[in-house]
Amino acid sequence: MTDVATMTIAEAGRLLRAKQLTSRELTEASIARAEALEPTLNAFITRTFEQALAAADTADADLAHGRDRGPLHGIPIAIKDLCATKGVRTTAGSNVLADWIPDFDATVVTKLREGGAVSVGKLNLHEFAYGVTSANHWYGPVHNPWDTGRHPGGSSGGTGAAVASGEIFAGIGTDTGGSIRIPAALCGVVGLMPTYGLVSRAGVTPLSWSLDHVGPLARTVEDAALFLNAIAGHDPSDPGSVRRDGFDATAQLGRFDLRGVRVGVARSQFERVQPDVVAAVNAALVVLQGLGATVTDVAIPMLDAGLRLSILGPEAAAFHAEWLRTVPEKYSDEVRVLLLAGTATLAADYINDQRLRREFTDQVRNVMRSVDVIAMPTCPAVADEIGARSYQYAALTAPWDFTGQPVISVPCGFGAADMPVGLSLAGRPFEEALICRVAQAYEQATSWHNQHPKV
Amino acid sequence: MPEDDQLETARRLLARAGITPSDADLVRVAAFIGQPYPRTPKLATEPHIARAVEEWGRQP
Repeated sequence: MTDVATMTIAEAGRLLRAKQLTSRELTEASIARAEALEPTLNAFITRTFEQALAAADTADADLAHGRDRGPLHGIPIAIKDLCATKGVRTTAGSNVLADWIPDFDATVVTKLREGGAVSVGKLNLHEFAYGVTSANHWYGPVHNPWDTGRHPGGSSGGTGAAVASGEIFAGIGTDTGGSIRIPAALCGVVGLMPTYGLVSRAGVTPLSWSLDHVGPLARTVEDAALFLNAIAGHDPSDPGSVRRDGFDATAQLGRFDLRGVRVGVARSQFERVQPDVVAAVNAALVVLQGLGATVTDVAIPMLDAGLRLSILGPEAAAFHAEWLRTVPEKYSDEVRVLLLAGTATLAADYINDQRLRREFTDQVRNVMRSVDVIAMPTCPAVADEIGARSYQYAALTAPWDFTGQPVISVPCGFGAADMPVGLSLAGRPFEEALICRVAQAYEQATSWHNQHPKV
Repeated sequence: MPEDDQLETARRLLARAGITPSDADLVRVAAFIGQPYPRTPKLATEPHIARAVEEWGRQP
């Protein structure tokens, strides 16, 4: 059987084009793996295996006729169930939308389809992406492939689990407070939150308009960069979308000599982190130094003070206002209370927090005049057991949603209970190519990406 | 357990949004909004924040 569990998109693409492999073979292997693992992982809410096989056959026929749609051509992927898919149920992980079958695709889904990617289904998540454990009340909890008694993080927990376990090569996540990077870190894969506006949110159920990002989770940095290239681009249907001609997240890949790259370390954040995670991240910083990067501590006063802003709550409440009035029973208790609390936030508090957000963004911008990348742990702890109250996981990720700059989480070892740890590297807006370069240099200097869960 | 005035505040804020919460939800929402603002008290005492807010306050 084709080993989809360890192969990368880049490797599979080479084999497809060399006619040593077909998309149907890849897709059948992906489906077989999902059928074997889903009873344990519950990463999917809806499987679209028949459509996937048809899409794979189309991809094979296209390649045979010289129609190459790009790096994702013929590659099995899956989509977070927050993204609308034409003719395929899209639940957003909630009972509110349990029966919704959109008559349109989210822009990001259209781009994947046009890029020849083969979607095998819709991935489980924390309800409406409002939480960090993916312990979904309606569709069941997602299980972490490294220890199925633990959660995979969230909200894109289905994506993290499916990528880590090899059910798919890569998948779509969304990030409002850390929902790409948290599951990436806790599942031992790469998560790339792009610059705000680089990837369209049109057709993606909003959580918080001014904070929402869409991006990939993948098994290597190169795969994440290839995936991001396929979904980036201006979209007039998303008011927050930006035009960035010539964007290429892969532009600096393969440059493993990091001399001249200045890495700032947000050391104050380490005080909030478990010792096992600190040890893994400190070891990663030594590797970066060994690759030639200069590594220095930086101070970001508002981050050091424990920045916490009430922006997500009221924005989420605004989107959910009508449903909260009409179908409150269709939310889990946990998410309904969060949304009600957002409803009760004073407008003045929200506006003042937006002002503080601007001040914080300016502080970070000033710091990034003297460093190129800011490094810190992605999460303060490894994945907890399912059912534990795990709200602290977004403590280190949420600030970067406020600034909207790109951040990548790359595996950097294992902590307590042999669970994965992630290293966070934040860059200046639209400098995805640089953070991917640094992350890949680290990745290739270590062997963490070659270790896979034995689920 | 939130104070009675916090419960009443939560009830009024939600009523203004057209929502009548269950008693259990009301208690939990009141606990949320009963937290001090800003929710990171240290932030409010940071001199640079105070200065920034002051500067904003002078803007038209």
